[in-house]
Amino acid sequence: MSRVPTILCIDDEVLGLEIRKVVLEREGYVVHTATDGQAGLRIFRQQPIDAVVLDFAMPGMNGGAVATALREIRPNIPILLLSAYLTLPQEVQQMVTLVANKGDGALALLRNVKRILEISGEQP
Amino acid sequence: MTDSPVGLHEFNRVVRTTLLVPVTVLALLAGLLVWQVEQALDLRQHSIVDSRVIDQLLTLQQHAVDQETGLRAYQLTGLPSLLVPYNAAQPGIDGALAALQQSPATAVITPAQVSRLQQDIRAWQTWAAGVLAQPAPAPEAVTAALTQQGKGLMDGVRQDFEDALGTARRERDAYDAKLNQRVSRFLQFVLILALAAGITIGIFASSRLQRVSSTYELALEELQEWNAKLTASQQLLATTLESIGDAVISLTKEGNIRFMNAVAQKLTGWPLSAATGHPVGEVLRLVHPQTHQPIGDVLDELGRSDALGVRLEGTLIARDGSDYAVDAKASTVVDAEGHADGSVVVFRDVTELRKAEVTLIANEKLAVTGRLAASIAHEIHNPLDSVANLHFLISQEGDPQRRSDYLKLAQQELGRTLQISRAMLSLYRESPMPVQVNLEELVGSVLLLLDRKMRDQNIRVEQSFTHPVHVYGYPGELRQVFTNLIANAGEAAGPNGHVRIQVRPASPLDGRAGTIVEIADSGRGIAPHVEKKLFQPFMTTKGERGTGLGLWVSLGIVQKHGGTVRISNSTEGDLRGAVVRVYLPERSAQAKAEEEDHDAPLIAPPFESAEEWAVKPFSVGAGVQQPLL
Repeated sequence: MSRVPTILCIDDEVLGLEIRKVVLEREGYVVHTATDGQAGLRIFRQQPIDAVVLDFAMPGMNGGAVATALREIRPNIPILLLSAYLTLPQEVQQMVTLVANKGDGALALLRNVKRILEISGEQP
Repeated sequence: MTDSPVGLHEFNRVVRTTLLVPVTVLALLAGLLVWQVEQALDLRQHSIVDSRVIDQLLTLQQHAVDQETGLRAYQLTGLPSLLVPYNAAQPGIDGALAALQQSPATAVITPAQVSRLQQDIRAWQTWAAGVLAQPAPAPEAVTAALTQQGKGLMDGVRQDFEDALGTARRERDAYDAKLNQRVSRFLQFVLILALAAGITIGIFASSRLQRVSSTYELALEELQEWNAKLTASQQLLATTLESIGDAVISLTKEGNIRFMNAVAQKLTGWPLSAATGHPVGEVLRLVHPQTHQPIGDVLDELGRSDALGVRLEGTLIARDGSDYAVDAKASTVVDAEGHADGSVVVFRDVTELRKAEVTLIANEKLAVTGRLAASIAHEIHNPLDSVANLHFLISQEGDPQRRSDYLKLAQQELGRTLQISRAMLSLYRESPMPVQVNLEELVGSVLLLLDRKMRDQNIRVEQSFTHPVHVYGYPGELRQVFTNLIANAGEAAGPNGHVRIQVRPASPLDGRAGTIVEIADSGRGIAPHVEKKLFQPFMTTKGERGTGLGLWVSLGIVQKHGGTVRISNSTEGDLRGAVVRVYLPERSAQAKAEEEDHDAPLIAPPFESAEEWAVKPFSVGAGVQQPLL
């Protein structure tokens, strides 16, 4: 990857979102944030995004719906779905690259982001 | 005789006619006799009048003969002394003639006969006066011619007498004969009539008596039939009472035992023979489940009160000391005039039911937590995620100012986690006594747990509080109630819906002092077919996702606090969905706390309608007569 990957983070929890942004930026990523699905999709269309870190439980569009919309625009976009729910519906899990629990910590987050970028690199 | 339907009425009628007919016949007979006697008397009157006329005629004749005899003696002797009878007879002749002239028109002698008689008598008297006017004659001077003339005149008189007497005698005889004939015919008539009446009455009476007897027999049969039916019906009732699963006790007006069925005898441990006549309080010992204070006092007076009935829930202490949870319903028995005449207590052993209810209530508590599980997981994991990320940043950060900022943020997020876990646990941790509960805080903590759920569906939650909003109660249980009700409202409102929670003091219209919590949603409201069943256990509109116990348990909790729950559909304002109004009195819970401990089972009564406030219509009072909890 020649350039620094750009990550889009979508979460309605503003504080959590901002903290997540700082963590990812410290790792060297370019990070865009959106607090709901519609705003996220808008950014996704306008910016070159390499991966999306998506929260599942959100007002309006939930993570599953946002993932479906993202994949309609770019079927191969790597998506990391974060969830506080213990289990997610099967069809939602199939719609994303990876599912992770919230609260696993920053290292897990960075590892997961790195991993979805690698998966997408393996499948050009 | 065999045609008519038989009854006591018919029987009376037959007896009446049986008496009436002979009496009528005899009365008719008597009337006929009276008429006949009157006829006979009339004939006899005629006969009497005729006899009198005849007497008068005979008297007159006697006097006329006396005059003639006197005059003739005078003519022969010329002695004036011999004229004494002649003169003495004169007034008699005048009187008799006058009497004859005054005879009634019906008399046998005609006025023509009377006047001819008078005329002839006067003619002879005129002749006699002429004879007397001459000087006393010498006996030899009496001429044959003169004598012949007097005799001629007297012969006329005699002829008249004969005519009149003849007529009168004939007439009288005719009347006498008629009278005799009438009397004899009358006797025959009476004889025949008496015979006929006797026979008629005899036949009639015999037939009537037969009928009376058969009617009586039929009436008797009917009575026996009724008696048999009554006995059968009594037996059926007795069998029914013995067979039903509920215990039945019948009480006198004074509140003493009149009857107990087998179940009642078994539950109370009192055989009917021993219990009969005893005051109900001795046999049916109902006490409060927790305080063991007697609660059955109301039954003593029910049988003579105007109250329709009372419902009691409590513990029955049997004669041998064993106890049962019972649900009793007592009703006043009203006689045909509408006066209270004793009462009936129906009760059943609900010990197993109560145990099952306790289990159900415990399950429902778990279900409420289940309902919140996803929300709580999210609420806890979000701040934990931030804390974990902050921990990483702090460990990497060299700048003390930023480290301090991150620490503050981490603390804040940890605080949020604690708050949520406390809110969740407070559903379980219950204060042993009713405490003052700030409903604003309580509703706020419930919303904290439901916030994620609402936000996920973009449901707008609007709150308004009019102070003061304090009540006495058990905060954990009240949390359970409002979690249920607000979660229901959110589910009814659906995505992008609207829920409004208003907490305000109860207005005077609501009765006692207290607080109203009103939860309205923008859903479709309550379907009419669901309305009546809302508070029944296992009633759910959510299929597999609901236990159907939420409202049932919520109502039980609110009632434990002395409050009520009312559910209706809103017809005005911007929210046209369901409106749930919870009324909580200010102090009732504290007052109740003196009587009971906090973990008594919650039992909700069957509910008639969603429109109804949760006050049981059957009860005559609240409180100890309904120890629900």
